[in-house]
Amino acid sequence: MPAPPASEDDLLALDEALTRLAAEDPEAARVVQLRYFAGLSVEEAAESLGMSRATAYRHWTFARAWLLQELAGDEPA
Amino acid sequence: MSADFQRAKDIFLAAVEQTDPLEREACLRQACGDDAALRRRVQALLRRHDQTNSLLEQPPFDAAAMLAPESPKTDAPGPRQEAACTRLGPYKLLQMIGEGGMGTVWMAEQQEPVRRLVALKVIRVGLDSGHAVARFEAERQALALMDHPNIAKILDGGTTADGRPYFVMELVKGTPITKYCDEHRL
Repeated sequence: MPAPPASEDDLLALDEALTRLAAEDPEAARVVQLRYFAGLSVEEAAESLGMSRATAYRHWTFARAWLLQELAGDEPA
Repeated sequence: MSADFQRAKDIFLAAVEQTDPLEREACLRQACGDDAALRRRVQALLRRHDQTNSLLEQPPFDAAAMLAPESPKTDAPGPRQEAACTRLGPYKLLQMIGEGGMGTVWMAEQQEPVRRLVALKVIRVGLDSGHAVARFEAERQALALMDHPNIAKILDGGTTADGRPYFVMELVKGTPITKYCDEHRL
């Protein structure tokens, strides 16, 4: 099932969570910015950040789970 | 990065490789030892990872509403077709060539001062709040600062009649890098 379109509130919450991620893990946050907001693929993000594809994928995998956890707050997973 | 954060990230990345629940459990047990808080933290991340219907899976974006906000949702003519006739200043939008998290990218024809095809990215309807616009502007700024033959150059930028920012890049036709890598077995 496709994800429902995110509302503007969701996006703003995501943007705030991403700012918190950037404080802890700037490289992972850069991958998300390029992948999600600038519309690059993970491979393209890796290239523009000068990191290996494997590293970019690790950042992306972690950042996605971390951001979802942040957005969910206390909601059980 | 704090030591706690780094540790949780490392353990998460090791555990996520284990697709078998028992092996994943063993990996967690070994890595977290008796640090229950760390273990709960990593377990929560793993559960989020396993969720498929999540916010980040696809860009939050409704292409139909993009440039035809007034059009009712009918089957034909599609709103996309209608949008394809839209003009933005000196640019005539020809064909949607991509969608990103914040907007759409169009192949457009610039008519003056020179006639050429360009790529035009415009923020989507409903995203034009202060935060989103600031982020879009940041992307425009970042691209404008990059001067490299392999990065598309920013040619122009502006605001639509209804206040949505857009920017114009050189149109680069080519193979997506993933396809290139597959074809060349990289």
